[in-house]
Amino acid sequence: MTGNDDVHAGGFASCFLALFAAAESWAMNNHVRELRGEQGWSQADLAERLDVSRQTVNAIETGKYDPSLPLAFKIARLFGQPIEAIFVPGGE
Amino acid sequence: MNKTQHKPMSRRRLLAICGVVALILGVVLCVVGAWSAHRTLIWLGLCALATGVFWLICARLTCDEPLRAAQRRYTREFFPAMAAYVLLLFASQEMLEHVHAVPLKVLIVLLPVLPVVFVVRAMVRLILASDELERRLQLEAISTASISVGLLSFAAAFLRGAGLLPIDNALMWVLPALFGAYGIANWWVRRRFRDG
Repeated sequence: MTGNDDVHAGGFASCFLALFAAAESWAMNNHVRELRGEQGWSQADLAERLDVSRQTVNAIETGKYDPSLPLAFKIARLFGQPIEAIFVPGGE
Repeated sequence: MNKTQHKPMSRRRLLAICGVVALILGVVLCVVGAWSAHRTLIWLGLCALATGVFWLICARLTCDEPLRAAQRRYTREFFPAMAAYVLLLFASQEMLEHVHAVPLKVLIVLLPVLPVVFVVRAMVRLILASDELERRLQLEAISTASISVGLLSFAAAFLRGAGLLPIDNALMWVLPALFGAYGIANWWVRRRFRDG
């Protein structure tokens, strides 16, 4: 998962990097928010269970950030679902 | 998740406490400076007042969330180290006036660097305890800060070489500029991941 790097959206650093390389942008969709809602957890609760910050959970849910494979597997294991049932390629 | 548990300190509360402490310190320094006609103390007092106001504004703008364990540890490590740095900075200036042996002078001059090592250690430990998104944002912030300060100091060196920039001890400003630029860059790169 390369992530939907927001090269166009923000940051001087991204601008510097964009000078040298065109980043691949392939957004993923996910069902983390729905699954979290079913469990009755807040973003902070899920963040604590995944050992990440609440901002990271929010960024994943809003599609601003695609998690690494280990974190994606951790999320899948937590919700007891296969990874492909939670994360789907953008446009599908 | 136990509601009866003691709620950890939030970022907003921490900033508010720091702001109030800085304001009190600023007033004390200004009063003592004015009373003893010590210009450096007045200057420092004004800096503390400005910092206090800045922190209080930040406290109003920041989200009211509890600090994570790594952030609480960073707070515990950062503030004592910075306090030690300020104390040693002034103590070393006072000591230098009474010392004439060169090796001892070198030691005294370098004394304030020691707590800064602990400040850097606290920062490194915070970054190492961050999650993957935070690390990516830190990398972007550090890259931006280093490139910006590097370019600025490069340009300043040219100006200094041509005698157009009358700044003495310019190297002294590189590390504070790096910290300042990192703070601004950190805020900048996090903007796009804010709620809403």
